[in-house]
Amino acid sequence: MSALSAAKAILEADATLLATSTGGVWDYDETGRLGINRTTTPGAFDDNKVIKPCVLLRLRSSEPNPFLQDEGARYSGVTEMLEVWFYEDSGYSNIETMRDRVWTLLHAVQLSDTFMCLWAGDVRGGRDTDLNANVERSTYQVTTKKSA
Amino acid sequence: MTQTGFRWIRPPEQALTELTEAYVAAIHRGVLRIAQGYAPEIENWMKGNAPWTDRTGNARQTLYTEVNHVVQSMVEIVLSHGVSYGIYLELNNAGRYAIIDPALDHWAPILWSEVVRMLS
Repeated sequence: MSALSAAKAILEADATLLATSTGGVWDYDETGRLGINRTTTPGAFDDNKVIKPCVLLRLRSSEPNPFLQDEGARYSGVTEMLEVWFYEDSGYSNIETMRDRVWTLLHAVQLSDTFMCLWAGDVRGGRDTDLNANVERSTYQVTTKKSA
Repeated sequence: MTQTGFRWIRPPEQALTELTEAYVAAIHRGVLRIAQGYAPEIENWMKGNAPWTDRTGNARQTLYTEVNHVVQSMVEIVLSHGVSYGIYLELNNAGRYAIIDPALDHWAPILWSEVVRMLS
């Protein structure tokens, strides 16, 4: 199980988060390259096609960790940056609720087959002009491994 | 009986302070040299790896890095867009066209290992 799917499983299982995130919890495989949109993720929108508060997970990068290397055993540490995007139509109150809840669920938690998942910062008060929605993003750093 | 011993030319507490300050200054110069050495490389990497398809080429060509002394003992490398709509490239479509954060992810461990190498 990848770090992303492990994190998604944790978020999807949390009734508190889902009570706010009425538009669902998605990943980039489900949404496609456009992210949340009215075609591939209609569940994230209400009957008037207005976005509901929702969460999107995306693996941003997967880079070698230079301090965790064993060439003899062909073992490489990997630092993965996991992005959690939060959307709502207007205001940021639901986004803040979702962001705080995700922090509670993911920060300093060991995901399946990884070291600790650690919060690595937020981007606040953004606007997705394509989606016409407010957006914020949390980033989590997950150290895992790659081996033969 | 002959007395033996030594006399401080400069008291240890004074020498230690001066040596510590010199060591800190040397570290600062080393970090600055690393930052100045890598900044153009990071800028080229961003221009080469920006994931969008160029229309005017402005967004790609105006990506830049800049090395600053923030305070006396701190060095920063600023990575930035040079176009007003750079923020939307970073945030729209869940970061589909982002380049700043991927650059940080790629270069931060390289820079950090250079700093560790300098100190070891």
